[in-house]
Amino acid sequence: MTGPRHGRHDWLGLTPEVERFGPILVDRIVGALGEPEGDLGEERIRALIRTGDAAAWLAYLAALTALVERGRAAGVAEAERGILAGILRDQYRLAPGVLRLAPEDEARSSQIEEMLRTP
Amino acid sequence: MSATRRRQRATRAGGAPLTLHARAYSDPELLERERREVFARAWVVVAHVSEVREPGDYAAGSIAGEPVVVVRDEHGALRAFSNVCRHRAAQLASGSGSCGKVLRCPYHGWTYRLDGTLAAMPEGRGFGEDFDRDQVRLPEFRVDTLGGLVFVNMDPEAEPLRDWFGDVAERLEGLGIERLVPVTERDVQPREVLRGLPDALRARSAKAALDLVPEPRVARTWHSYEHNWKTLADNYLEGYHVPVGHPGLLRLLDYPRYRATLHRRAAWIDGPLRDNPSRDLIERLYQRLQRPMPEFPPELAGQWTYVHLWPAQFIDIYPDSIDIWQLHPDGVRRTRTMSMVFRSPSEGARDRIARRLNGLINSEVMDEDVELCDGVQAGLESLTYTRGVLNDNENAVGHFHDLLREAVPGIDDGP
Repeated sequence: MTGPRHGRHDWLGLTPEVERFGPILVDRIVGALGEPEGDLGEERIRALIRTGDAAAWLAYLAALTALVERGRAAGVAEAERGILAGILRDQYRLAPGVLRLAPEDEARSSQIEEMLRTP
Repeated sequence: MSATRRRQRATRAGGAPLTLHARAYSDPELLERERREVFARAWVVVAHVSEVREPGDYAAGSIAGEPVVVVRDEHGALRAFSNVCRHRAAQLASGSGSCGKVLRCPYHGWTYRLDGTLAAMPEGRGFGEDFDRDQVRLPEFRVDTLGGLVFVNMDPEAEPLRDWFGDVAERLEGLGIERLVPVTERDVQPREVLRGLPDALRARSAKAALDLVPEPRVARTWHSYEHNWKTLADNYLEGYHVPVGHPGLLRLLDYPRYRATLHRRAAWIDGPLRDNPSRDLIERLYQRLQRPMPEFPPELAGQWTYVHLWPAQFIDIYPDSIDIWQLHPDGVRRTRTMSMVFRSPSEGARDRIARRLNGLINSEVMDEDVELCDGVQAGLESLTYTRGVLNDNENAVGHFHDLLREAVPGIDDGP
């Protein structure tokens, strides 16, 4: 029974795993990178669920992908990076069921898949 | 290999518990067994205590289609009987109310005392001189109360009600349902009244206007669905489908903290509400207006709580109201549902609006669930599907299936 049953709310179905595991993984990777605390944590996710939309969610996934990439380049937080990359892979694999991915999101999806093949 | 070990092997695959075999959702023989081996042995809610407070009060109900009636007899004792007249099987009572000192069959007038014995029948001599009316009595069942609800059990050997649901019994007692009042038909039909008002005014008839006002009878709302009863129960018991099946609800419910705790013949599901205002107008209004009823247990404020009581009764605990939803199998692919809502006796306009908004939100959720269950019922009868696997968030479904395996040996058999 695929198809746009709920329309604009559908993307919310993507959020639970990121909401559950994202904040702690982001915290650890950001900490390992020595970066200042950014706006990728729990508050951002909750705000997205409250008032966001599909485009804002994809922008958030893009920011997480960039974080994983920075962690990989710096060689830090390998375990946390691996889990977050796995979650992001699933997000990009699930997303086409509820929204249309732009070419740059497709590229990020491939980037994550590649990252998981060659950590 | 022992039966227990065989069952464990049948229900585990690579760590993930397995669902029941799909045949259990479409086999008429199994439904008959469920009626006898599950429902007829279970404690089932029939009424709210306020409906049977005084001698002569009665409330009619059903246990998977088996008509029962609870009465408060003239000595003040609560009793439960078959609601089937011994003459020609008519139902003696319907709904709830007061029957005085006797139950009278609406068909031919056979009249029973409140201890179930036959008092008299019209034209009694017409049954012949040998007919022994003293031998006629309504079959009696066990009855007890818990947490403001009246339960009936047809099985004389069943465990006492207080032990039946394990430690959920104590939590049910704490809900204060006995201090709430059931919503009546007068509460739930304002639209019908408003719709009929112009005609009544045109007729300039006080009686026509008064007739519009429904009786203050306790409202039992019935619906019928084309699903096996377990399809609906499974759907209620898990939150794993919420993000996909009801994505809008994620703005209201704090899904990461949504979890089921398993008890003996029961499951307790906590659905905490988010603090942040939802984007949706109806949900935001509900968030703003809802406040716990004075009778509400403080530890449950700020969440929606769902309780499953084996086999097919569910209590929705909202800060603004509590309702009970029961499943009554009416065929292998047909289920009748009954719901009763309880509100605070001191409910004001603000609380009433919050309760209505809650109703709007949840009726949309129910519409979505029915559509999902339509698909599931068809899928369960597919030639290509035999059984599925369960996520951690579907633990209460696994628990329910295990209870069914225990109660109906062989229910899980299949290729």
